[in-house]
Amino acid sequence: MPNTKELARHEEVQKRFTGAHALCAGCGIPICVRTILNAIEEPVVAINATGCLEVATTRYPTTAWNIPWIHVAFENAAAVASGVETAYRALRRRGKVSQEIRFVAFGGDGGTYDIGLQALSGALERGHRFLYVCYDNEAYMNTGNQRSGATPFAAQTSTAPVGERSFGKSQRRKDLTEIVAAHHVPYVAQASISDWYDLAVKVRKAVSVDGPAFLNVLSTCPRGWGHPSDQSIKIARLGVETCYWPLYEIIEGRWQLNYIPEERLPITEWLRPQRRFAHLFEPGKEALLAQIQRQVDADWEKLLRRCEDLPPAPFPKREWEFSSPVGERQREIWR
Amino acid sequence: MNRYAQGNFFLAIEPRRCKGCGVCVQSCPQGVLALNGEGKVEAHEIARCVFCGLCERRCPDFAISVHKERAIQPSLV
Amino acid sequence: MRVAPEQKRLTLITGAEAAAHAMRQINPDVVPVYPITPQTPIIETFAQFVADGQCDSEIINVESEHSAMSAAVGASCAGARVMTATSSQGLALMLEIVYIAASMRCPIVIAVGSRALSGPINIHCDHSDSMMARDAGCVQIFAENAQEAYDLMIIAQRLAEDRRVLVPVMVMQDGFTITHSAEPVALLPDESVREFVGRYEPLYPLLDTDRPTTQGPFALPDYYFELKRQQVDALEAARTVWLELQERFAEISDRRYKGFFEEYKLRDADYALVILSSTAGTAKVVIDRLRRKGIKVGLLRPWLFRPFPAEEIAQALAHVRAVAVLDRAISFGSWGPLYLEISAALGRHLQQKPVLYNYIYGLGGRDTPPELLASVVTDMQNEGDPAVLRYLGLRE
Repeated sequence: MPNTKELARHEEVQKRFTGAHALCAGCGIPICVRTILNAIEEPVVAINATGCLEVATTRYPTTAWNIPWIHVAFENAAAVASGVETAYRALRRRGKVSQEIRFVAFGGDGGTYDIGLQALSGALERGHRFLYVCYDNEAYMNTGNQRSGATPFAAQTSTAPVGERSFGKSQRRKDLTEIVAAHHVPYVAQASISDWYDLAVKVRKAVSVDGPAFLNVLSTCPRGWGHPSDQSIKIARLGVETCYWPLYEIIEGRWQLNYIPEERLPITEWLRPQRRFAHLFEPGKEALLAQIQRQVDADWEKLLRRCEDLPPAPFPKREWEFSSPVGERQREIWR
Repeated sequence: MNRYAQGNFFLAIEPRRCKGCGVCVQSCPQGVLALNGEGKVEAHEIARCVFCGLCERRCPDFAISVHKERAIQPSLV
Repeated sequence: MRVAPEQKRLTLITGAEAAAHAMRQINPDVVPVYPITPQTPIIETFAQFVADGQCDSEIINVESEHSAMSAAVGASCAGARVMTATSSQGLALMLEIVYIAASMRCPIVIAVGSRALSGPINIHCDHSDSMMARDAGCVQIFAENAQEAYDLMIIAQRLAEDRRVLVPVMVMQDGFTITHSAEPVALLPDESVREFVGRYEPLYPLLDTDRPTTQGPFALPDYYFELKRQQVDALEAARTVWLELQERFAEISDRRYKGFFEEYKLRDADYALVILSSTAGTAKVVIDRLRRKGIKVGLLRPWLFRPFPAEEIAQALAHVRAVAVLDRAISFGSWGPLYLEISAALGRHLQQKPVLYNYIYGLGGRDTPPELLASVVTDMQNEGDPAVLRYLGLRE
């Protein structure tokens, strides 16, 4: 299983995805993408939906990609991937291609939960061997933070804004991970940019199955969510620690939780540092906060009941434990 | 490219790639890194670095990386 | 290759089956498909061929036409030979991606069973679907009958994959009239087709991981225009390649396609009809009857609509007194698409122009019997006003 040194070595040799792209400072997407690409041993062909990642990494005549990469449109990453993967099988069978290649499709929540849902569903049902990664930053961020089906309840976006008569998005977000699981595919998981090891392990598992795999990765957006760029990892971590974004897998239909926080943080810890939720901390909005907490609680309970395999105890609170004064100071910063 | 060495290891920082997001500064368990006056990251406490590689793993822009010096010993060749 | 006696054997098959036979013999790598009337028999017949092992293409039964074309682009860019089929609403749904396929230089052959666009929903023949797609950057070829539907699919594959072209090629056959009517068709031997289409050698396959490419980038105003200009050259090259392939096709069959359009009794004609696809067949019968009465009428039936052979058509029509262009589609707010092309062609290339009339006919599968076509010639003889848009077979 991967460690930082292995991933670093792999990356140095392959250089599959490079810097000097135009993604924002502190963006969660490149953290997600580089972790994923470097956790895969075999050669990779990437398929990309329109969105932040595609636009900011391939402004003609430059590119940040050192692997074969294709973008066609917004809603069809999974359909394009189906075509690429089928071509691979056909040409392999006909003796024109001999190497093992892995196919990874990247789409934002916009191109996956909403406009891309049909193509994803079709590809999953047909059973193509590919990994679909949704980098979920919870809105159409490339075009300036318009709401998507992944935008959480009560979040501010430009098309469901907070105003005199509105507290932001009035609908709950979809549970796409569950929708994907309903397609009976071999591997589905939720991950976060805050837990790179967990993500890397999941990627390895995902590409090893002979069928479709899906990763829903929480990916912070400093601009859209309204937080300082250096807080990206921390805020993603808060999503996990508040059980807003649990880390779990569904392997051949068996639900398996990967992480139970020792102390579950209240959902306000997740909401408070993000300006898109700032209006919820004004007087008179307590009922909304309570409603959100109830929803998170209910979803977490449901997930616990569903998961047959819970992680072994004790589970480390942080990925590193320091008892030195420096560690204490870092814990302060972390908090 | 700026090198910050400690024994056989060094941190390589490419300021032209650094966007000053500060994620590496926040990620470092040892407090090695900080943003300078131009908003670019520097390893101002390299002696504390344990070369865990977290900064490299998390940099969105490939601006910082951890290396071990290649041992070049011509007398053994 | 000499014409073997077996080639003369005719098979009674529909236009859809003929297209499916062409696909079977071409045996592409990947075929992403979605059903829609009236092209469905094409993909059903082909699916049966695959199921029975008569060819071994990978069929992807996608969940919409948009995904069919998306998968086609993915497979083509990966390095595979790709074919698909659609009609009407299906073509409308995949149209977003058809433009992209052309811009990404994907040599995909698209069989089209020409069908009216909604609304109201109508499953019968007209040319509104292919005309909707005329600006997308594909080569567009119109077949009159089942034999042409077969021949032109085979030529289309080689035309698309020629390195000077590398754009999708749409091959239209009239919905129901041709797709569902059985005609005697001469099928070529499998080896002839295989040899004619040859191997597809992609330039930049995604599956070549040693030479990675970024395909389908984001382009700003500083580059977009030049990239689109390159597509103009691709369509221009298609003219040359089309003519070259006609020569090659004549070597393996006794059917000679010559030039960009069929001329039927046009050389000495006083009046000309310009019609695409199957109604031209009716027109030929009408022309023969009128000729027996001493009226010198002729027909010009384009095969290529895109690229539009403007100069050649203008020269072919230069000598006639009047031309009636029959359009089985209309550009609302303007006139018929074929008329608009011909009018521009005559304007660009001729000093003396024949009088030009436009008739809209056959929308939504409305039948056009011989008498109506004959009345068009009578109108031309009576020197009607060319500034009036006319309709054939419409109850006004």
